[in-house]
Amino acid sequence: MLKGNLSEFPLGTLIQTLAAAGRSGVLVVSPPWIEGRVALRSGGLYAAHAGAREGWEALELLAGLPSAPFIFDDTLPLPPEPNLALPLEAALARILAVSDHWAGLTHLPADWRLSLALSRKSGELKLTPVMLQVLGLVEGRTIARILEEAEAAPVEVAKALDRMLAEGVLVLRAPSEMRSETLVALSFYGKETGVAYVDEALYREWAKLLPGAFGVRVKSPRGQEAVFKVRPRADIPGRIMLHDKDLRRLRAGRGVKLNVHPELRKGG
Amino acid sequence: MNVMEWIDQINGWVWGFEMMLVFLAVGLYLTVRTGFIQFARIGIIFRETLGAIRERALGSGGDVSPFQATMVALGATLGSGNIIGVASAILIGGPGAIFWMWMAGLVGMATKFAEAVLAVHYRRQFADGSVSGGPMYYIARGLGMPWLGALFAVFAAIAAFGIGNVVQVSAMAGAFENNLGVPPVWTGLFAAILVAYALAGGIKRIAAFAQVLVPIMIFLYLAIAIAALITHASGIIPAFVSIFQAAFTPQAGFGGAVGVTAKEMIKAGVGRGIFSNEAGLGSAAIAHAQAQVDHPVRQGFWGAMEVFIDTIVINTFTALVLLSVGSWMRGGKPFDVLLGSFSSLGPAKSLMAVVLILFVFTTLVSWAFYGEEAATFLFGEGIRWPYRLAYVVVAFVGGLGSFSALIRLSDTMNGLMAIPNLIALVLLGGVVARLTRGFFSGEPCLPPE
Repeated sequence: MLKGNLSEFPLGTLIQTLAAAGRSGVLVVSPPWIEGRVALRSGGLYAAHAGAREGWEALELLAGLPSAPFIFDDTLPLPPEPNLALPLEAALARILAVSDHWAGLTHLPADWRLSLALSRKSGELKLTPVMLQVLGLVEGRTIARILEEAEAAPVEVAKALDRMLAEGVLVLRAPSEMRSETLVALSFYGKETGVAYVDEALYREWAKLLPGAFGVRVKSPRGQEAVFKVRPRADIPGRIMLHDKDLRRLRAGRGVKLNVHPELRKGG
Repeated sequence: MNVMEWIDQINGWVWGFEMMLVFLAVGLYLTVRTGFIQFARIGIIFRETLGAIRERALGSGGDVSPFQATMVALGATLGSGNIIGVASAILIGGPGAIFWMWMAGLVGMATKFAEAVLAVHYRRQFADGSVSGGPMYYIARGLGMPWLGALFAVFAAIAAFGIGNVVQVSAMAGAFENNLGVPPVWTGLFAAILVAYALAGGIKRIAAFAQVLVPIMIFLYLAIAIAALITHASGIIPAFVSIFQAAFTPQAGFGGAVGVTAKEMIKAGVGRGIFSNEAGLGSAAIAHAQAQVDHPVRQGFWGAMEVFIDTIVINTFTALVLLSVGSWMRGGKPFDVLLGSFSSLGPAKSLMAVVLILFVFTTLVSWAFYGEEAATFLFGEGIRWPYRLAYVVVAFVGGLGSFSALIRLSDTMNGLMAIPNLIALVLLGGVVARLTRGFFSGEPCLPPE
């Protein structure tokens, strides 16, 4: 049994390693929004599935995951029918090429659980057939579902989504289940109350997921709750900095674990 | 005049009365520059330190938590000065000396606050995330005077072998031999093995030792002191009264200190206060620089708290025991007076021996780290293991002989450390003030240019 994460072992490298060892078994890739399976038989690619995608398209979709836990299990049964007929070398070369395309998509968020919506923004964008296809699917669906269900190849769908996000044709909709964080309170002093500082990396992640201006709802262990403006600050991982007075209002203090939920601000 | 006479002459200057006035003057200057931080922000100092003990690391720089860094610093600071030094101060300067010791402590809180702030602000961060800091770095990087920083490092690297090592091991060997009948060679071996084990793990293992041992020894000592005070509870209020009365009427005469002049009283109190809390010497800043903290001022609070615990808490308890029991009035050697004061507890000798051994061991390990950091500043990373080896060897032989020349030399070097450090504290007082203002305005700290 081999375990890891695609952020450390990209899909192409992983398949290459397993193939070189002549392994048989099933590689199960499990991001929270889809399950992907790549079956190998005696070091050769045998079959691949990712949600509704099969064969090469499934591999193409899985190659777009920058991070996801995986397990290679050689006791799992192989699918009854193969759906990958590509020679190994050619398949690996294609996976690497596709991975490069995925890496170039800067507007598509890493979290494919997010939904998309058409924006009200007007402007000119020459729509391609893939874009038109995507626009027909987009309303209310998550990125993962669009990538799975569109007729075009996953990487082409992803490119279309990326372009339309960049042009503002599509916007990310606040997910109904934005994950709360447990952060340790740290005090700051000065005149400005009502502001929360979080680590730059967390702020960037939230900014990517939320389509507009956002704040944080902070709950203390004693049940007090308040909403704060949020700003990034360097070098405070795992922390939320609140003004000393705000911390007291929350009946909390430095070192107390607070539940922090990011949410869109009204009018944002 | 031979070399040792020269050293003794310098020793007289660096530990003399005039130098003490310089310590106080620098502390007062920093008190003003920081907006009387130790008084105006005392609540915040408590909340940010003792109120946040349960917290672990903050920020990404540094190797140990702010609490661990402070325990390493306190491990070096707490020592015989808190027990025997206080007895000496009372025997020389009378009860009034304690008042001046408090004054030195209160002023020293600002000094050590500034040292810790500068140590974190100007520390050097390496690619692997580890850091090095202390006066040598803030002198070199903050003042742009690497030669003066190197001078501090030379003093610290040599001082570590004497006051941090030989003095401590010989005290431990004496305590073991007198109370338990253990030959000094075994004590030396025991000390060398423990120090070797602690040093081999670097600052993380030293901090792991300190964060357990230092609180234990503080609570153990306070428990012993409180027990002694309970048996002499009627003497506590008169003890306080005698401190304040004698502070302003030094000629009034108090037992062993009859005819004490104001100068002698202030010198005894301030001198022993500085010797005890080490504010101004710069040594503790080397430990504070290791803290994982988001803002230098936050570690500065720990610096101030370190002095508070040392001088205002522990020294006060020692003084109250001595004064409420009253055995100091008969005079005598400081350690004997001390033992006499605790004799109501029964196994006083054994208890004090245990406390002294703990004080000595933590000082030994913390000073090893100070010396190693200073040597690394001078010679680079390659010196770490040779320095550790030399330190372990000296710890082994430390209990076997008197090594009076080495002790005199290192004591002088310890005093000399204050000169470059105090210069830097004065010249960088503006930086401390700016960082403090920035912290209390909610601004993030930007690294120095």
